[in-house]
Amino acid sequence: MASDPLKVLIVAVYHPDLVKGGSQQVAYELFQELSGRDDVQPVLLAAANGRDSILFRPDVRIAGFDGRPNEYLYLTHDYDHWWQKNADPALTEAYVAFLRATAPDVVHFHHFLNIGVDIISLTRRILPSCRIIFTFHEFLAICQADGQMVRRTDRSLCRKPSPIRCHQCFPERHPDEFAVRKLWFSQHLDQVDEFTCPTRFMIEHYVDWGIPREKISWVTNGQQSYAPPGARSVPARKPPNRFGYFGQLHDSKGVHVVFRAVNILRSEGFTDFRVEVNGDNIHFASSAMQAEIQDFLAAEAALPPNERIVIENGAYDLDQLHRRMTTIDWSIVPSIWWEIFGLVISEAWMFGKPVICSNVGGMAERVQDNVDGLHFEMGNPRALADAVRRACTEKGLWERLHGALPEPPTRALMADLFTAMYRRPAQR
Amino acid sequence: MSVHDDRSSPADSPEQGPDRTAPPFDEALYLRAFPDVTVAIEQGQITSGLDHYRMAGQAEGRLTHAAYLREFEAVMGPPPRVTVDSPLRAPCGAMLIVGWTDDQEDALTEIIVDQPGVRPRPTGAIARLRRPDVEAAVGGTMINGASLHPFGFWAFAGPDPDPSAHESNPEDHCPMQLCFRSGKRQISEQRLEPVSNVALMTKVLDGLARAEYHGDRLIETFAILDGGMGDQIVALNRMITQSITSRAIAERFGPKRSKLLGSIIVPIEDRRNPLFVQARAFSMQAGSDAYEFIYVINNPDLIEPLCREAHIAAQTYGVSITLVMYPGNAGFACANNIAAGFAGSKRLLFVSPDILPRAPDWARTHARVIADRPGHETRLFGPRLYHGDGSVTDGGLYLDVEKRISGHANGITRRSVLRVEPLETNAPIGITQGTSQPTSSRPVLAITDAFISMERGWFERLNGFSEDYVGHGHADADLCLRSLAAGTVAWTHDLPMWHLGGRITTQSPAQDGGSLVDRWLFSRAWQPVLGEELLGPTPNHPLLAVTTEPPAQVTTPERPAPSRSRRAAPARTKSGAGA
Repeated sequence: MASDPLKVLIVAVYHPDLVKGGSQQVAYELFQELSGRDDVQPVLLAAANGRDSILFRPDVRIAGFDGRPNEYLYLTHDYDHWWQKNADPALTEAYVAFLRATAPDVVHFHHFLNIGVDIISLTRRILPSCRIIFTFHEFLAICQADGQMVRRTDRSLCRKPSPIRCHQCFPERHPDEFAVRKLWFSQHLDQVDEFTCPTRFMIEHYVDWGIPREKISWVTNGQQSYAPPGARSVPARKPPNRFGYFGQLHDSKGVHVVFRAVNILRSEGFTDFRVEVNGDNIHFASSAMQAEIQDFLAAEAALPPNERIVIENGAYDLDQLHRRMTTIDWSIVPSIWWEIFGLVISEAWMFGKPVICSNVGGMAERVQDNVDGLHFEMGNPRALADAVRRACTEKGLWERLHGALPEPPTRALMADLFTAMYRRPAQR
Repeated sequence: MSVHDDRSSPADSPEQGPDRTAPPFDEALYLRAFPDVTVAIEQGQITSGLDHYRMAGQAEGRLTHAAYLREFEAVMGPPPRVTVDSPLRAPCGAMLIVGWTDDQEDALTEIIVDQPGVRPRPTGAIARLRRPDVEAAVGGTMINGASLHPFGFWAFAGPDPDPSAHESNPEDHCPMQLCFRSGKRQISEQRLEPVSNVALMTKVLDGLARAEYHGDRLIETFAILDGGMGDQIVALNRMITQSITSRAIAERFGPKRSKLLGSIIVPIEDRRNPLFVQARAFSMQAGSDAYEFIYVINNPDLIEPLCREAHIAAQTYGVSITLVMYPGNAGFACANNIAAGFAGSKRLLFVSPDILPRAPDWARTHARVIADRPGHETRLFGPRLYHGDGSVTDGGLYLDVEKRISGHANGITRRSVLRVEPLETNAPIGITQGTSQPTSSRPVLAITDAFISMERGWFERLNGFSEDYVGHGHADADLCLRSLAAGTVAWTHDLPMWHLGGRITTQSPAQDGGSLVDRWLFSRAWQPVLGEELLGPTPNHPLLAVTTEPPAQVTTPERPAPSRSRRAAPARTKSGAGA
């Protein structure tokens, strides 16, 4: 006789249909995949900004989403970004009622941002025997600087977080405040049964921080493929001189490194290449970065069409990905932070595009230099310029790297790995 | 005629009354000022002006009458220049008068405020301080560009026994008499700006902290406080705290448990280290259900957010939280005393908001210490404290005498004052002071208020924390010394706690002023009775020897019971929301 399906509550930082972003995309892909399986009964609880919305009744804290089955919105507001918690007792009460009503066997958190890190402890108290899984999508538990582990002092990557070093990034806060912050996060995360990271380098950061090694493991992010059959085998142009940037236009994503590299190559007289910029959200960038991006794009747009190298295509949805990918040969991922996983890498691979990326973090882990892609020194426009020139001019390079491209991880694979974890007996 | 030669000194007579600081009596001036007296002499009703003064003039305040003062000034010359900057009056009758006077030749001796409908009131001791702005303008005897004369003054009178009269005329102007040694007086019409009792207290403490002196700041401050201002400040503080706490109410969140091992009492006055962080840290571990939280809100602005936070914390962690709230800041001692009245257990844990357990089994460790150690070692004890910089202390405090010298134009003053210092037992980083070897349990002279675990019965027998203290820097040591005087020394045990109180903020001047008052109060109370064997980081008193034997009968310092407010039974406790 078949056993009852496993009830899994997936908690996400946002709903990707309302706010785009990698972690919510992965959570939703997992929800969709599990929804198609008989042995799992998933429920999605995605945070949404309740204050901005006029669609909800004022007394509602957890609402449905357009009547979609098993999809709910957790209407957060007055969120405390230092302690990562909500300040509304009614929201806590609503979550308790929701937990009791759904009675999940497993609660799988994809982040605590917007949800509140204390909700993990609450989940444990209300459902003492449920399995709690937590997937890290960046380093927010470790690093108050947007979870990026990038030093605010010089924008270098942080490898040794500590109260005093954190105080250097936030001089207005005493080192003791960071010690208390760490205790606060640790005590809540201590209620988690198993942690996962989509890349292995992350695991070392979290183990160094204090997560027991035996409780943390790798589970890849998976996606459905947005590419039509045969898209991976489309050959490149001759020469392969079309590059694409996909992502947000803010500081850490490093689009400015591309622009600076373009300036270098142009000054050297190397202009037989094009870069297409896909993405927006420039308003999240610092004012200095906004100015640099806007000035560059304005100057580029002012050039005669035959002299333009960079073309701005604007924002895109996943269903537009195919069209945007057909016009490029390479995908550049120039992030100037660790870049945890890089869904854009998977998306490039779906369409058979080798990736040129910064040589750190999730990018360096996933893309093998000179095997299935190219690395360049993070944040160094000269290094990227050299990589671009090589990509355009080295005969057979594109074909060799393209031939070694891995299959992007599927969401079925991701769901298989998580399901095995869900069914593991509780150690607590 | 010489005014000085003829003075009959009626003002020095025992029946001082309203003429206590009047200019000296002078027969000729008296008759010149008051023709009615001359008429009475001529009619044979009295024999002299002095006869009149004694029979009626003194009661009528004739020596401070404008007519007499005019005659007096005509002979003696005008009084020294005086400027009153900011006279303040609180509803309780307390007054603060700040200003400056060039009284290098004729010292200011008293200030009398003559409010309409209220008996004239002297302000008490006048504190003198430097006023660099006046020095630049007036000059005087200078050394290295600085005047030696303290031109500034401030006078403070504490609560009036009959404050109702002050509330009736809040806007009235009133004459203020500034009296000088020669008998001259300056009549200054002033408007006493009405301020709240709390605002006046803050102003006084702020002024105490900001005052500039010739000589050592601590000695000069203590001298001012010795002169009567210290007791006046304590009286005002007690009046304020009584008024605030008489309106205390409590709200309960979370489950109400019947069998409690301890009540964790936490006074909160700012947003540093929020309630929910501590509630989480102390909860959700073996044995922690046997403890309740009592948070005392020493800041009305925090009542609403803390109610929300307590509600969430009670639901999230299943903890029992009582919030005690009142409309003001009653200070550390008063807050803890009030909270103790709401405790549902026989053990009180007085804990700072910045204390967090270092090990997940703190509740069991605390219970084990109490169960395993002899009773006299756990009646009053503190934990081992781990600090953010990596240093470790056992929460013990020691006392020492600090010898200070103050030099100024009037001479050199020596004074010894008590100082309270932390005992560092295992400090790999920073300054090491005190005993070099860490011990898991040992008696100490005092323990820090960061964490005090205490039998409730013993706390009540000691009458709680002394509410004379304005801040909270010395009330802990005072409590421990009173415990010692009553026969029980404080101990520290190996209960590991984080003490993470560092903040990028500095104390306000008023808080600094409060600390000065507390140190003065503590030194005054304990310095005369503490013997050498109790001083220093390694005191030799038999009670402080490490032994598990019950203490023998030994001589301990004696001190009268502390001053603590009499207050009604704690206000009602509501059953609030909670899981």
